[in-house]
Amino acid sequence: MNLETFFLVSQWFFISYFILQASCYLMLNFSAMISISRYMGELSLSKIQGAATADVMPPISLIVPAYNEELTIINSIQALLQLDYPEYEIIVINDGSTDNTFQKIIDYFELKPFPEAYRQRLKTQPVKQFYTNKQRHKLRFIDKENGGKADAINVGINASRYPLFCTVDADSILQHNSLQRIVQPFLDDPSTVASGGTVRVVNGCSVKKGFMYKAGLPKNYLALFQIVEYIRAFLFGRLGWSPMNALLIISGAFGLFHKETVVSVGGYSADTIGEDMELVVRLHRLLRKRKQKYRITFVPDPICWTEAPESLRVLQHQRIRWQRGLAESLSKNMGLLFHPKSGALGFLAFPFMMFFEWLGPVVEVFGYIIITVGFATDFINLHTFLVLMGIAVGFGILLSVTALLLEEMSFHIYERPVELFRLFLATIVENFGYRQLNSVWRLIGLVQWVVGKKAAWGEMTRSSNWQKDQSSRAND
Amino acid sequence: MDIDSASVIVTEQITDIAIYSVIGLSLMVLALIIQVVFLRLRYLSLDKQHVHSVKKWRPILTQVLLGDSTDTPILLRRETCMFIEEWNRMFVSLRGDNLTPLQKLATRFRINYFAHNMLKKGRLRNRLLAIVTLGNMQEYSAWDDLIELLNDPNSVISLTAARALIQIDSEHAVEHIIPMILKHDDWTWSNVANILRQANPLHICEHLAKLAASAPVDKQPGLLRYLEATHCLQLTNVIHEILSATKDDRVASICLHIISDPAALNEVRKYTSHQRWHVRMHAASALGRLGSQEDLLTLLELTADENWWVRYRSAQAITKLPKLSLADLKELRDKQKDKYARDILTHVLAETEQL
Repeated sequence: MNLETFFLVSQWFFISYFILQASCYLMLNFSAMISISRYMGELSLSKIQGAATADVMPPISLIVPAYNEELTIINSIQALLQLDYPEYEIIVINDGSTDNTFQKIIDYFELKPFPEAYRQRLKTQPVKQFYTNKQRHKLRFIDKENGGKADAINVGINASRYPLFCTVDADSILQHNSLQRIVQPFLDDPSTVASGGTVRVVNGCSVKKGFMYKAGLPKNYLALFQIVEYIRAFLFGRLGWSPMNALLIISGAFGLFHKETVVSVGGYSADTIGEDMELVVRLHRLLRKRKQKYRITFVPDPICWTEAPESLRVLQHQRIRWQRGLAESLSKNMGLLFHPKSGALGFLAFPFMMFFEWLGPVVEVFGYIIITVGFATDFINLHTFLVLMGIAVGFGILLSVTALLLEEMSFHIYERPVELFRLFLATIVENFGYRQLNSVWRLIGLVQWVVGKKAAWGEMTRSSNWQKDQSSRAND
Repeated sequence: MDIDSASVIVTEQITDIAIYSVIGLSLMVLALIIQVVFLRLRYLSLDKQHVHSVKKWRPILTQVLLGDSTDTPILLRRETCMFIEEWNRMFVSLRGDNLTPLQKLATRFRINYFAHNMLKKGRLRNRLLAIVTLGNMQEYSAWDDLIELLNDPNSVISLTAARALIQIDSEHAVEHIIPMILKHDDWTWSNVANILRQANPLHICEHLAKLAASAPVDKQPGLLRYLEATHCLQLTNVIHEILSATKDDRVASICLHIISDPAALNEVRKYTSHQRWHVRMHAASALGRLGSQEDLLTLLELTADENWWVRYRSAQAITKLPKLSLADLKELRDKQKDKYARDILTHVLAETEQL
């Protein structure tokens, strides 16, 4: 094959790829629009009809793994203690932190050792000690040897008392009614084994005593772009798949699970970076294999807020980690792909994730490189070059604007017109540099996965500006 | 045709497709932007109307509730929907209080007439609003229409109709609703439980108990949980009867979990050696509620069970048995030869001391 043919074939390939990708995303978007319309209708009805009463809600164990979280952990636990839910326990697991996390928790909550008859249903690193406080019986604290986030959650599952457990990142900010919202699928359908909620970016919002009370947009452009990404990922990425029971990710920042089902599939995989996604994909694979009737559902309400990285270095680490997690989760559960009994999951969602999310960065990065090289070496003329780039960028803008449409159809988180305008600008600007940079990071993640770099706790430098003044008070 | 010209044609084809794609994408983006702006404007307009409605009607509704309806203004036709929503919100927020003045005001404004129309012609949201309103108004004239809606294929409509019927006349509504529980697989447990709880237990317990006793085994667990959720356990001995008759371990588990009839103690004791761990666990818990000193030995044996939950519930049950002080319990623990029994008793005693 000569060079000219190579560039011709490449152009056809990239155009076909982008058009196919656009069609799939638009179909997904259509599914999400139907879901959100229905959901909003039911939500408005519940406002004039009254919500479910407290005593039909099952008790929940909140599992909070913590590793070097000394800056935020006290406020996070305090906020969790104030959640509006009839019966729940909070299990905080210190996964061998090397900072002052352990002592801060012990001192602030005045915890004492507890003689727990611990049973190890899921194999984990050794547990050192359990701690409780008579006055705060909802809170249980476990100190264990370092083993990673998945290992810490598995300890939490082993120690949990209730039939449902909810994983919460130590830095997550929840709404007062977050648990009431996320438990709803379990009340609606007894075959539900997992439900996830929408995670939003807290940067720019006003937070008081661990709760978000006013949404806003950040000044930092990286965080602003991530707001658009989160809206896109949650409002149509997940909501689109949920009605087909083909949801492949529930964010580790806030997800509710049926404990016995998770234990029966072996709990979280401790040798995976993307333990949250891997568990969900494995649940699908094994429950389908067992021919068990089940549902994994998504709740579109914005019920969990998380801090987005504001520096390129931290963002790069995060995206590399996510891509490696995605690659690990899919590759470990390839049995789902086109499995005769896998339905929409094996024939739509799994191939979609494989071709557009897992392998997407390869096509995107090499697409940009080949087209640019082709143009620089005169194999592609200026007109074709600009039009091809126009497709890539236009498609990105289309997806982001679609996500904004879903936001307008539903929750109107950002109420001021100027905020809507800034989001519009972000949907356009993010396609000139930011998206391409992301593709490069994701490609690096893929390479690291191929090379087999060892998994570790995802370290993220947090600014946590809304927590700082309260933390210092906690120290006094 | 030589290779060069073929290559030019292919390149032109690619460019053409790409240009059409860019034009298509641009048009779609533009259409979406227009739609987003339209939705925002509509949202702002609805929000304005809502704020206006709340500002105008909330003080009036409050005044009416306090017994003063002399200065009530006329309801304009264009305000009707917003008024109905506000009226319902107020009604729900005051559940349990004297709501008759609100109902009288709605009748005076002929809201029942509007609701009937909305029920027949409206979009889904308006039909639901109509059903809720008719229920809150306890509008007997809607009885037949609502009974018919119990069979609606949309579960949101059928459940909302069930709730409205209970509000209108719970005694007669349960005769229609309870048999529908078995037919409606789309009715969620929590919704039905919430609806039934609005009825007087005296009206529902007998119907529910009969249905639970005669239902197929796979439906019995759900029905037994309704009996618990609707506070019927004290009003019926059907749990004891089902526990004596059942051969299904799931049904037995639920019966043991909710049973509160001391006459069933001997029946409960039979289940402490059941082969399924969850049955043993619930039997142990039931002994804690209903048992006596006689059951101490059985429970101590269960603290050495192979299953953690059976050990844990048995230890908890021991702490609830009558006439056992903390010192007695500690002594019992120290006498245990089995490590698991000692550990679980230590754990539960520490929990008890914390409470």
